Amino acid sequence: MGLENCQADFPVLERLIDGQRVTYLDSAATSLKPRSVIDAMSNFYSQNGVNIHRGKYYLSEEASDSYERVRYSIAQYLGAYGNEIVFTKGTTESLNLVAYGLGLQQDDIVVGFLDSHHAQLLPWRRAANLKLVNLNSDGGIDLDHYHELLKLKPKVVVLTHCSNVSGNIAPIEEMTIAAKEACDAIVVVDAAQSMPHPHLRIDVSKIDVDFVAFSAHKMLGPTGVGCLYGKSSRLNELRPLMLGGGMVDWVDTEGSQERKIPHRFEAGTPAIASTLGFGEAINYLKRFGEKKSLEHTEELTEAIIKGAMERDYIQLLGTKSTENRCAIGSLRIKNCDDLSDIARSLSDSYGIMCRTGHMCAQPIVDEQMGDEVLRISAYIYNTTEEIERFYQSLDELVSFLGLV
Amino acid sequence: MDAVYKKIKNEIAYAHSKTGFFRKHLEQAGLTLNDISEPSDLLKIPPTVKRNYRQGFPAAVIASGYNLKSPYVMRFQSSGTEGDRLVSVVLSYDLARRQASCISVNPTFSSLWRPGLKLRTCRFAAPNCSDVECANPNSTMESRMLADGTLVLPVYHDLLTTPEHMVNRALDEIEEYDPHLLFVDPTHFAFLIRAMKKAGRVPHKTDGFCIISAYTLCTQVARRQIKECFGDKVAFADMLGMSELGYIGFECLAGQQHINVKDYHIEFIRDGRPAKPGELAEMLITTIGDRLSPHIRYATGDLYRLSAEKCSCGDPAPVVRHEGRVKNVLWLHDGTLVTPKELDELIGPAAWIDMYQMNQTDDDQFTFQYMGNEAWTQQLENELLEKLKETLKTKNINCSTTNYLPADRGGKFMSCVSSVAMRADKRSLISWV
Repeated sequence: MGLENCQADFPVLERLIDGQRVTYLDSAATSLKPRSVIDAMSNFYSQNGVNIHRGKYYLSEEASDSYERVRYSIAQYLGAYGNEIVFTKGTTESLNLVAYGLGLQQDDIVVGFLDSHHAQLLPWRRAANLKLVNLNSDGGIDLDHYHELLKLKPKVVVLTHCSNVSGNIAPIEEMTIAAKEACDAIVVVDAAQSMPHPHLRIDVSKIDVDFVAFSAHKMLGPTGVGCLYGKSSRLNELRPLMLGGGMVDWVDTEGSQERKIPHRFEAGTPAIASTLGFGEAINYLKRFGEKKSLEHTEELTEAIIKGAMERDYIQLLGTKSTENRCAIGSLRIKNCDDLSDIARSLSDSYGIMCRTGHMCAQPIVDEQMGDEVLRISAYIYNTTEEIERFYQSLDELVSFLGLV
Repeated sequence: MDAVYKKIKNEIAYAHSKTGFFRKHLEQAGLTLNDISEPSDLLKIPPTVKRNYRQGFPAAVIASGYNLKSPYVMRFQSSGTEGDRLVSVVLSYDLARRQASCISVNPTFSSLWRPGLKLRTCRFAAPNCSDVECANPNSTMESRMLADGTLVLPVYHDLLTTPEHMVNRALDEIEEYDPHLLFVDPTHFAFLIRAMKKAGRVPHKTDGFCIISAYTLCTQVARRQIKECFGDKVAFADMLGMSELGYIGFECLAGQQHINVKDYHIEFIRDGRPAKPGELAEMLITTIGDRLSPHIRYATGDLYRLSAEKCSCGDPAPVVRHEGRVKNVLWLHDGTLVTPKELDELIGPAAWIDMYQMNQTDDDQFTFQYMGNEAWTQQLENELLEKLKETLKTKNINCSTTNYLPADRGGKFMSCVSSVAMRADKRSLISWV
């Protein structure tokens, strides 16, 4: 099975809204779910549905086995060990867990990036002294500024592998080497936007990162579950964010003994069905080779850039090259003060679903575009024809709205 | 009446009169004891399977007159592979007799039966094979000592995540306990050896004790590492066994696996009929003289080939080759099978591989991952990949190196896993399990 015919695996794409088919261009927010992922979750509830790691009864052990197999599967996908995979609610919780668990002091320096998601800015700002790396004149990362900030000997460097606003892919391997050489900083990677793409998969056995955070729902899996990869030595030093059942071996009136990694970070009953769906999403993604994934992404990215560059009324955020870029286009429509009419009309009149706002990355959006943007983001089930149709629809709309 | 058949018939009569499960089992098959009047009538009895014993434990499978507190009753808990768990019981003297019958084929292990010897055994295997939670960070030697004096060494459920301090503790405890017998999972033990070398440590000794490999397929790469580390003066052999029955077979000095026909009646069945020598078949076991929990035509889910040849070692016990679990065979696109043992024969002792896992992910889709070492060359990898493609009759094999291969949730490591073989429709073609 190839990318070219995978649309058939996504039930949502069969749906007609007011008689028209759906064109989904908001995958940077969340991806659609293939049937196998839905079936995995549904199967859990119809055939099992019980808690894990608690009971000795058959169903509980069966559920526990399935749940832990997902952990192993993710570990293998990343080149990590099984005990280095922590299940969380998503990227945001993963990053908060690291930011608060490292025991940083307010005057400790953390180097972050302007194109980061709020989840990669706010926890670090609260926990320490966050310094942001600027963008260069092309809209890419200013690596000179990054190297300048490394001279401050930051304790932590928080990288965004792929920006959810510009689609820019950061050279994380080079940046990690620089951070280690400069001051042996702890390197934390937000891979929420990159991990969905097989060609951008991070192999932690080859890149010396300490933590990697990502979410299932952006990579064909369900919402409410994500992952934190952490080097075992780092996880052993990390303080759990949540305390409660499931993360202790022993509790008495005087104290408690925490469980081994990774279970000490997984207090409470987890999203079991979603985790099983996560595992199936990984299985689904494994079917696509890195080469195909890269080619498809480049085709979509080229269509996004080309469409924007051909229109005077559009300003595109970020670099204008397909190289090191994902198929994300954040657009400013000139003379448009309120993008909500455009987003609503694209949806209701053309069946095109895309997003408006600050994309949870307000610093970069405000700095580069002055205000909110209209964002299209494409994924494996999208085609270049859909991107072209988006721009043609936009042409009609801006004309009727009197914007050009 | 043939003496062996008489013993089998007695076992069947005993199971029928003493266990609720087997009485009902025969009734459901429409059989009475009178229907089993000659050896060929055994084939009329539907095989029994693990789930019967799981479902029947303890009330329906323990013979009346016994309970879990009866003298000499030993209880074993197996997590099984893929969660197919089982709690079973066996009388300690039955277990010892089966053990002695099996090991008698290999004289290098005779030192273990020295009169008056208080045998010290260390076990290094998955925690769920050990009856104790040896992955608990708070565990002590005392807390991991079994009633028979076996010291269970600390290891994590997911083998390759076992931290350095637990590896060192296991090595320290071997030195301190100085066992006569190391009873090991071969893959686990090969891991311990690699960790020992990495830490700059040496074996506690290379003479005067024995190593028995059990639990999972003894891959040739694991065997190579064990032999390289301990040399020829340490007796080493592979044991065939099941947690519910104990020892079933043992490796002789000629490197052949001999099956125990003193304590069991063994059948090899293919397509419902006795298999011919050399034919791939499921092993069925009927216990002989088991007063506690007799097993009748117990389908093991293990595939074997019975040899027609007599062994050069001179022992008359039948020679078999354990091919692996029904759930782990590779199903090729033309419907033929490659067993874990056949796969291992293909890979051989490969000096450049420390550990490997073949995974059939779907029909005609295979992934081969391995942990390489300094002897690796691209040419060796290419040559193996070509052999794999030829044997598996496909080009759809992803081959890659890795640092991590997960253990089964029960803690065992399977060198060959297959999601296709797990399908009920496939399994039913070759097994009752």
